[in-house]
Amino acid sequence: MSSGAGLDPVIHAPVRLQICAILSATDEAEFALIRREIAVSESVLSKHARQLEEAGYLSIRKAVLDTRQRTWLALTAAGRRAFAAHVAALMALVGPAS
Amino acid sequence: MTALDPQDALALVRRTRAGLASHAAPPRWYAPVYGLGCGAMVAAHALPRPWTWVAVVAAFALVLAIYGWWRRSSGIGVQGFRRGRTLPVTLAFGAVFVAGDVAAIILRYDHGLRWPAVLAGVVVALAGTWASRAWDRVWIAEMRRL
Repeated sequence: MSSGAGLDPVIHAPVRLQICAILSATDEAEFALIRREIAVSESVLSKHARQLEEAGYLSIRKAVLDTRQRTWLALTAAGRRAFAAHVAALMALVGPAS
Repeated sequence: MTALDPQDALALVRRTRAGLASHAAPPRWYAPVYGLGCGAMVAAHALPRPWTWVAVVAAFALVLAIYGWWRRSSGIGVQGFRRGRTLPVTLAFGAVFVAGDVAAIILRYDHGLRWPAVLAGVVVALAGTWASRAWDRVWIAEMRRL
């Protein structure tokens, strides 16, 4: 799934990159929190989350709390590895001065 | 949105993680309440049975409840045993907790002494408060460090 430069096209799109950036710092994060953090609509976040899920990088869990359904997103082990490799490739491209 | 050049992509990752880091920490009361719950689990061995186990269960429920509250209110799920630079803090506090609990149990039930359980509970409460704050600091620094 990676390009010649080692960049993963599934991750490299800005919204998906931001989703991965948040989830890489947590075990899981709520859909609403991610939407607020990256300031996109529900439909845009859903679309990009689905693309990450289809690539096997993201798992989606729904839980009901106080009669309200909450959606939790988490990077899979493959997703964590892919994001770490993607960031390493970005750093290699940008150079050590960054 | 179009694909980013590597420099912008890296900056976006850093900005996004720094944004989360700026408000990810639990409120200031979280660490002392967490420490209190952990300390109470150990100090409970000073109580007569069956109150020991009532107090242990209540203190454990307190710790679970504050974690659950923070998770729900922040929308962030993160566990103590996650990999990364926070793990040594978790392991260090785990060692203090186990040592305090084992000492309290042995001195209470083998030697009939109650005060060591109270003392161990205070030590574990202070260590738990420190560990909770240190863990958050390390986690947030890790988010900003990338």
